[in-house]
Amino acid sequence: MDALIANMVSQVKNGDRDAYEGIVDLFKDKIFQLCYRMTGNRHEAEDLAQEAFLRAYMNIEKYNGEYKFSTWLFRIATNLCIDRLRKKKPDYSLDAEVPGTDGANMYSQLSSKEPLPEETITESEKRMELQAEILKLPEKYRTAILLKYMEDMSLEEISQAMDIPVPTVKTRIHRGREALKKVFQQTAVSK
Amino acid sequence: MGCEKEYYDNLMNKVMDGDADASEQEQFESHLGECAVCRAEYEAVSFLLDELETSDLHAPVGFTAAVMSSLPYQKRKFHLQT
Repeated sequence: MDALIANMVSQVKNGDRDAYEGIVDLFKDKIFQLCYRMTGNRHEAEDLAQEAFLRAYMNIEKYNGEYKFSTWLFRIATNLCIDRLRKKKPDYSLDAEVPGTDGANMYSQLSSKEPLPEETITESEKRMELQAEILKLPEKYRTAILLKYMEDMSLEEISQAMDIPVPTVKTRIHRGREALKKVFQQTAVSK
Repeated sequence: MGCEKEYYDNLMNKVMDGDADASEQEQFESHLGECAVCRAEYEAVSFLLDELETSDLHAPVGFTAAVMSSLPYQKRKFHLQT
């Protein structure tokens, strides 16, 4: 797989625009998923994921194979998400209307693709709960937790993607888990 | 008691990182049998992280086409000069 990716990257570097399609296809779900978990909004995630792929394409000469291409791509995507989150301070509500959707809110956004009515409720509820907990994490812990658990990256890869030393990655994952525990306790109390 | 809580928090981190040796693992498990607080925390966090590991969201239909159409056609200088 790594050789295949390296091959596609060098084709793109040589000016083969169409070779980039394979790269997008290969990583689009991962990148979209990361952006969605970071922002909690599908439209924003789609926008950010597209922007990440565009930036990667425009800067592909700068990718030098020092570490995995996916790590480099994740780095671009997480930086974009963090920038976006900082620009608009997180102030989102699940009932809030999603911009440009003509009255759709987060609940309808999330359940719109579920086929069976009964599963729709439980599945989307579970997803909403998880997403709500993740969004309560401070962004630097959120990033570390998402890269580790969702993207299954090693501490070394996370260190490269976030540009911080490995021991700091470890601390952030620990603090992220601690924060999740606290969030969970609060949720349990309020129920 | 504060010290003990910190001790088991560290142990839980070790276990979740996969860095615990056999005797630490055993010690942690026997502690979970006795301590409802640690057990609840461990189960809650494990549940969330498992959910995260198994979640499989997909990019929207037409995503690749949208990206491809956003890319500039002529990126390299020598193409422009011909």
